[in-house]
Amino acid sequence: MSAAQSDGGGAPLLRVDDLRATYDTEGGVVRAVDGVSFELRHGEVLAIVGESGSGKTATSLALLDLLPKHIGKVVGGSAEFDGIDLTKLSAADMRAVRGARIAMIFQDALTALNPVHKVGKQISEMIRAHQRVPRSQAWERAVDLLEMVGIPNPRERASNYVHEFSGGMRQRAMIAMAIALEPEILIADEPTTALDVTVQAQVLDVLLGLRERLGMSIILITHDLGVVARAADRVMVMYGGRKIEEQTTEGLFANPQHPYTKGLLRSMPRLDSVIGDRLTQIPGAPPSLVNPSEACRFAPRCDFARPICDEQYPAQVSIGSGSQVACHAAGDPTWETNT
Amino acid sequence: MWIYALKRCGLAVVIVFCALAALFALLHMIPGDPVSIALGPRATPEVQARYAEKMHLDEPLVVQFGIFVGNAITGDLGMDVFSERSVTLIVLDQLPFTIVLALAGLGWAVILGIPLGCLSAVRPNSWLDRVTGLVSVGTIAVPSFLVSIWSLLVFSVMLGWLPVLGAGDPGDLGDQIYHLILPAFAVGLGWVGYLARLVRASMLEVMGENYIRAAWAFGLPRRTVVYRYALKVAILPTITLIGIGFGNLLSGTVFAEIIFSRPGLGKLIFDMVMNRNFPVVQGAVLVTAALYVVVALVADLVVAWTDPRVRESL
Repeated sequence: MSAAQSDGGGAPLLRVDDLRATYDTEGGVVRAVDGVSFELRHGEVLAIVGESGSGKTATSLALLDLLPKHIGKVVGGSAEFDGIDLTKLSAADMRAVRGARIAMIFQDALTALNPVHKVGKQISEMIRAHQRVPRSQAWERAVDLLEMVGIPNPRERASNYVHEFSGGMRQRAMIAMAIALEPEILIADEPTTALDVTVQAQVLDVLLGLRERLGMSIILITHDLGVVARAADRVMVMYGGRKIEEQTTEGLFANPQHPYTKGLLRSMPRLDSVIGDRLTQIPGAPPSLVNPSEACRFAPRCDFARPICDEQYPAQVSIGSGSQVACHAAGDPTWETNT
Repeated sequence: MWIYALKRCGLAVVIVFCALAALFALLHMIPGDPVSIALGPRATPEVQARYAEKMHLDEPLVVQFGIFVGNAITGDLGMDVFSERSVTLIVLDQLPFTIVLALAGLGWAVILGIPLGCLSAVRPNSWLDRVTGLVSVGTIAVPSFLVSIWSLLVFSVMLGWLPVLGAGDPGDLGDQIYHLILPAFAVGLGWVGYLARLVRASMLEVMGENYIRAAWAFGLPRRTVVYRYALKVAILPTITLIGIGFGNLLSGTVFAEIIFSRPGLGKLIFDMVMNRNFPVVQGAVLVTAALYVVVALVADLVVAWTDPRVRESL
């Protein structure tokens, strides 16, 4: 579960460079993803963390060209995956990538699985969309997959509909569907958010076990830092459609750089905190991304903002060992950002 | 599924029974003494009493209702006051014409309306969507009797392509179909627009659902996503509506039947009301109501068969 597992030396599996995506809304054009760059290495779990509206889901939808039709679109940047630029694929080529090479699972499995088709049918349909296998064989594989993700009585369960599954089982069923074709990348968009804590842990274990077994890379989108600490090798923090910090998981928890990241960590309960202490919250609300200014987007909520923060967006500063932060205070020893 | 079907059938029986009760109550609320209507003003009291006894009109209401229900169940709907023919036979004579007309009218509306709505939803705001939308609202707004008269004028009188009246020679299927074209067109036209609008609306809603986005994300081909994953869900409210529509058409074909001088249930009820021939009206209404319930039942069963969630809801 450490960075040592990934073959850090080789070329990254996915290299996203300056990705930009917008939503057309009645209020104007929302710059949901605003120049995001990151890399995903083989076998690595990269967590994307941020609050609602920070652009973490939009980033992953943009990669697979799944932004809402007629509203969202990718407007710039590239996403190089195994020598191909995902942003320039034709619809047919993109369809061949989706599910088979890059699969995605969603937050609420009840609404993400079709209500009028049997679960096994949906999994086998997905297999047959990419491979020429007979119906019966695809069904057998669906049963095997359900077993693989830990669903008891998989043969009977394959004939059930999604509303007959419990929350954890639905998520497992969706994971089974996502790994059916052994994709190289699995994008998990808040896979545990809708679940109880114990079921959360089980689902995470399933995901991580499959990572070991199939050698997948996982992009884990979450706002739950507990999930991050448990599962991720590296963490990328997003705020206002931009990446503001990226570090190894250990590095981020031990030594967060951006004031927003520090705020996030302080808003989490700790084992060593004094009983009776209140959790800190970050004051203010996330910024509107309609025609955002060129200022640092966190400046209005930042306790340490200086005039320059309202004037220009901070450049991405490398702080060693692949870690980056976008803050004017970074590397300035005179600029105190700890409370 | 079977349990659901059984419960639903039980419910249907209850509804038909309620319809029987309502009909019976209505008949007894109509002013006038059936005996004096049947026998005329000059009948002696003895004759009147004998007639009342024969028709069980001297029994208490509850007993009369029991006899009425019993007769209805065994298929005896009474006698035509004038011709003394069995009402059941009269109604059954007319029924096939109406059923065929309703089926044909709704049939072509379904075949055209559902794909149109579907295509409109897949490409919203395309020229096809706009034209369909405009034409749909137009056809919904125009009443069927107007369509009947105009299509009669244009296609039969001016162009002479299609017959003006009748249902065609009995036994000659080709001729019957030939006579069916215009009435079916007139009856179904409004439904084309109606179904297209409904399917478009529910398709658009379903296409925005998470499971459709997930289906795209799993790389399913467009055809599978649109027709197998989205349409199968979006069609459900339409099935219910088609059931109701068919029930409505059983008596709603009356304009087309009168204008095209076709036999049929609607025309029968209309004629018999004009003649104050209440036993026939009563029988025809009862058969219509029962058919309505049966069609609604079939629609519900189709929906339940398609949507597993519905099966568990009753």
